[in-house]
Amino acid sequence: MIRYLLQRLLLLVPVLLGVSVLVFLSLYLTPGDPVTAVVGDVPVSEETRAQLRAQYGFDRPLWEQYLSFLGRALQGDLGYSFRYQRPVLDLVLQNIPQTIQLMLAAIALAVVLGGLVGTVAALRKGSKVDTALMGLATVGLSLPTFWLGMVLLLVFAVNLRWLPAIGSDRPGALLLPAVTLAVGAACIIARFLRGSLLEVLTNDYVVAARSKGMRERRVIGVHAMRNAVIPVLTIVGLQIGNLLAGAVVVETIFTRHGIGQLLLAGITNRDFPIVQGTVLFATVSYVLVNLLVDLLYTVVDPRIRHGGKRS
Amino acid sequence: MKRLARHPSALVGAVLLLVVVAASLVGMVATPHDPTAVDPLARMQSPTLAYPLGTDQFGRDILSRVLAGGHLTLATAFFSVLFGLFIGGGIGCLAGYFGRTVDLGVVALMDILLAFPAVLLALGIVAILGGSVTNVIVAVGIATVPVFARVARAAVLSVVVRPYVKAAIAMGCTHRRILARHVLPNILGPMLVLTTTTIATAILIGSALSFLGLGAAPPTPEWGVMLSDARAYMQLGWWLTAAPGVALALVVLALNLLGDGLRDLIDPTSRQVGG
Repeated sequence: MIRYLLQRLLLLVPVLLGVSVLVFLSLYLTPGDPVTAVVGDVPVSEETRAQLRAQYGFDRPLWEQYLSFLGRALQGDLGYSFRYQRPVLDLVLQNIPQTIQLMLAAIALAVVLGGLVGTVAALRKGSKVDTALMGLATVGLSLPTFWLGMVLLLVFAVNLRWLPAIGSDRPGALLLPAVTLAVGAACIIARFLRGSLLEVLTNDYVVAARSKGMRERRVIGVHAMRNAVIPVLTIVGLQIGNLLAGAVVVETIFTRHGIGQLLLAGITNRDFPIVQGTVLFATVSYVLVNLLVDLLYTVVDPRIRHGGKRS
Repeated sequence: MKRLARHPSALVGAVLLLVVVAASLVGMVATPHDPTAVDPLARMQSPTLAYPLGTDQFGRDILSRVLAGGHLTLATAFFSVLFGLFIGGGIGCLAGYFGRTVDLGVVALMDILLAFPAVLLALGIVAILGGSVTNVIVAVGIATVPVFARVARAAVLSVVVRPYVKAAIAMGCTHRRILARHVLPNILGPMLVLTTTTIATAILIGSALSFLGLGAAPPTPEWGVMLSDARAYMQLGWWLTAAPGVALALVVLALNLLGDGLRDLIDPTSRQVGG
């Protein structure tokens, strides 16, 4: 178990270093000189510019600059936004609770909804219920998140007035954004879980469990489900990337001050340190969450815990 | 092709896609009204015979705008996927075929690119390049590169061990000939499936970027832009948001259905799962 954990962590190092190199280099890919990219469209004196050039070491060799960028990032210094006159990390930390709240709600909804639909469809394979549910899942997968958000907003907040349209402080304000974000992920989870369950249900141990007279509920719930959720876990982990991206759109529609809004403001205001900081922060979080999902495998699947290979 | 026609979801997808593409092509040359003509007397009209899908806050005909905007949405996604297919598929093939250092390098680079959530990568690239239709194509294209590279590499790896490739090597064929004659034709299937579903994803990402104001700019009739325009007025008329959204959902649904069907046909092992 510890060996597996160390192995996973070691594999992450080159990926995270690569991510940091790309984020660092992005400053040089912007048109104009790096100082302009750092200050954005905030007017600053020539003096400040020279000071920045020295502070960030823009006159030193690229690898030295990268090392100092990496060193600062590791200490939690994600840069400084001249527009907000604040360190990027402060802004990220101020906005992140809103996004985490939204994503947790969306993941919970997606897992419950997708899990239910996938299980029912698999158990009723080939029936009208199955066809209808899977058809619905394919439709849900095809809805643009921003349009779904607008439609839900229009129906439930504007026309029916059941739920607040914008903001995040009123009760129920989380529901519409979370549903908007969850639908796509739920459909993907449903499709994968159905496939995975159907595959598992043909295995010998399921046949054995059934033939010894075990109740169907126990066969599905204990024997089949436990093996079927393993591949689905990976999908859930990967969906978190989509949810993070979807948060940009959902936070825009429902005017929530999360990290997605921060990133978008950074892009539209040409406030490049914010873009760099939020992308780096979000990507590292995404990678780490997927590591956690991988570790969850070991809980669900003892074969990995004991050093065996996943089948 | 015959089997494709008998696969229900593939058939529905293909027909739906043809309808949308045909409507968009017609919309490029002719629309019932001028898609950008402002008419102050016909603002915010609900659907009527003259304006079957209603008019927007400037009195522009929504049907005309949806028809005229289709090719932009479709072409943006098509070209970005073409970009990803050629670059990603190309380096994936080379990595799978030549192995060793090339493979290690490509896999490492793709792992790094895959560490970024795709939309975040596209957003970051648009932030660097600035927002425009061309830059959205490049950004979405780069975001799809690692996916194509991975699938192409895996497909090539499974093909190069086959006897006919070994025979070609034994006969002293050049790398170029082996790749073109023996490897490429045999990985077309999985690449076709991936291309179909990736175009669907590219439409969603591309229109989301336009919606966020980073792609096509108003007054261009693009579906994402139309929805973004409609945001401020949407409580005044449901028809503002209905048409462009349904159009987007329909074309993405068509591609997903077609992709599912193609997957069932090309990879028979998935048929039992796909139903």
